[in-house]
Amino acid sequence: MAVVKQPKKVPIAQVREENEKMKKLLENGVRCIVCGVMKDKSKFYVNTDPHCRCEVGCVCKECARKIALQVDDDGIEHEVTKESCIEALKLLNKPFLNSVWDASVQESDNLVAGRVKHNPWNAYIKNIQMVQYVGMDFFDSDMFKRGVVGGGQYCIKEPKTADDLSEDVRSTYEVNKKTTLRFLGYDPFENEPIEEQPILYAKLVSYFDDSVRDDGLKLEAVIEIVQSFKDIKTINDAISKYKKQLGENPAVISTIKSLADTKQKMISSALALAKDNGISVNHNNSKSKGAGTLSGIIKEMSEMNLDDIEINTFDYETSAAISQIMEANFQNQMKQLNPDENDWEHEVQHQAKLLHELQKERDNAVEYCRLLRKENKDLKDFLIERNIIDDALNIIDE
Amino acid sequence: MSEEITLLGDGIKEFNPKNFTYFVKPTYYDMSNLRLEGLKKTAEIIQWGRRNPVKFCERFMGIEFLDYQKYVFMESWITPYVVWCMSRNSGKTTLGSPFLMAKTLLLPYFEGYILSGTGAQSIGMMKKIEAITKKEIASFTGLTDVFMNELVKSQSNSNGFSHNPNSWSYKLYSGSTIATVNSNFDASRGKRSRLNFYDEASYVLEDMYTATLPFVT
Repeated sequence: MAVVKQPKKVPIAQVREENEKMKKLLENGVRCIVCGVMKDKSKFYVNTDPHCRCEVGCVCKECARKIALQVDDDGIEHEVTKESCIEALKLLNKPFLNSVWDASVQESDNLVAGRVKHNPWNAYIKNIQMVQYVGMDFFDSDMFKRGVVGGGQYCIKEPKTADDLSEDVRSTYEVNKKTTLRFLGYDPFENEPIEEQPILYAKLVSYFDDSVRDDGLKLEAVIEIVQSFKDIKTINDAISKYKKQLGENPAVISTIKSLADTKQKMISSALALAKDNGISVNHNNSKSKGAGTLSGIIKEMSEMNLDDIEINTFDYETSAAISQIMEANFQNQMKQLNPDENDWEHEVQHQAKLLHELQKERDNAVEYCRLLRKENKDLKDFLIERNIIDDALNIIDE
Repeated sequence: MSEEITLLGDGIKEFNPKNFTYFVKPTYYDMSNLRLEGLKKTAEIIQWGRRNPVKFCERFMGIEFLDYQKYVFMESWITPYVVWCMSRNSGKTTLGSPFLMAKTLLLPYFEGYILSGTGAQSIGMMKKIEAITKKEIASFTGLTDVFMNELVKSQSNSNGFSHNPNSWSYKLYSGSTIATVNSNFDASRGKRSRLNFYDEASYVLEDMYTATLPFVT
């Protein structure tokens, strides 16, 4: 005989109590769309979207945190990235603002402030709930303002790379960077933004000369001056930005004044460095070496073994002016000569001997030239085989 | 099959066999491209001056030559042994001065000596160079300050011309010098030179040639 299991009898008071609880949960609770659990509204972030009547988001705080921190199946938290943060904000319908993100990263790193947020997410979610961001939703994020959405992923404007630079800028930038590395042995601007590096390297290279190479302090001064003038340019940009706001907001005058003072100090510091190290033309201490004179430049070029300044007498002899004079001279000599028979006899003997010697010399020279050309071709073929040069004889850069 | 070499035309490039390429080892210079381009441009001007020294003297020093002087100047520019057999008042010393000035200005580390039968004679030529440099010759109109600016000056030698009784001389920033040799040529043995300029050469003693010609070897 089958036994029908009777439900456990619960006292009516207990049922009433549970009903009350359920009723309360239904009134003040929301089901999280990620974990599917009904939770109290206090476990959710407030949603300030005017269309949202329930006043909270549809993802609980814990699930949002797990998404932002990329918590894996083992419950291990990973580093918060912009992408993971955006993913969580998308579900929370909150905006992603670069300025708030930067401030949050700074806040989480700042140990001096005392109130340490353990990661940028905690700081960000706290900051984005401040009153000034009320009413903003995910579509108010910075990336939508620029309209850079593609492939289902939200694109963040990453710092530029060398490939983003234009062709002309990049070629000069690469040459200048190589020159700097060769000169210094290290990269002084590796932490600078890529878009500023071409200017920095170009400016630095323009200061390079033998005196900079020989004087370590002067070298440091030159780098410092280049950095200073870059910073001064940044300040100039900021000042012009604030000047535009001056009509609407006269309070910015104090900021402008402060920036101008800083700029003045930086200029003074750079000029003092230039003066102490004899860097500018005004303070150049190599005047005694003839810097800027034609003969001084010739000496400098000779010392650096510049091919273009090489003395090539063959080139001068065969130039139009000198060969014309030589030709005229030879013709004049022939006109002046009035030899008799004996002279001719001597001349013919002399010329026959000369011709014989020159013929031998010429044959030797031609053979020597042939061997050199053969060697030249062999060397070129060898270099091409080894992938050191290409067919157009250009060096193949590694 | 060997290519035919044509020995005609102007400039070294004309002499290259056709379709033959030369590999030049790339050299890296620690300077900006702008500065390197500037130096290359200057080098081009210098090379032009070396090919056309008369034009260089005219343009840069403002010296005008007569046709026969141009002929003598150009003919002597690259010829190893030269004798200028010219009449009185034909401007031998006057021509020799810009010749030496151009040599020192266009060629680095150029050393030359002015030699004569007497020290005073060789100093006379140096005085001519000095007069041209300081624009003290009335008939030379249009002289420039170019050469004056190239002279190495010091506290004791404010104009760049040293008047040491043993040897008058000048020096340029390129390391090029010209000095006179006085009549006591025995004291000057063993010097090195790239140019010996004998003024009034027919009156120079045989012994002096014996002592000074080895300068250029």
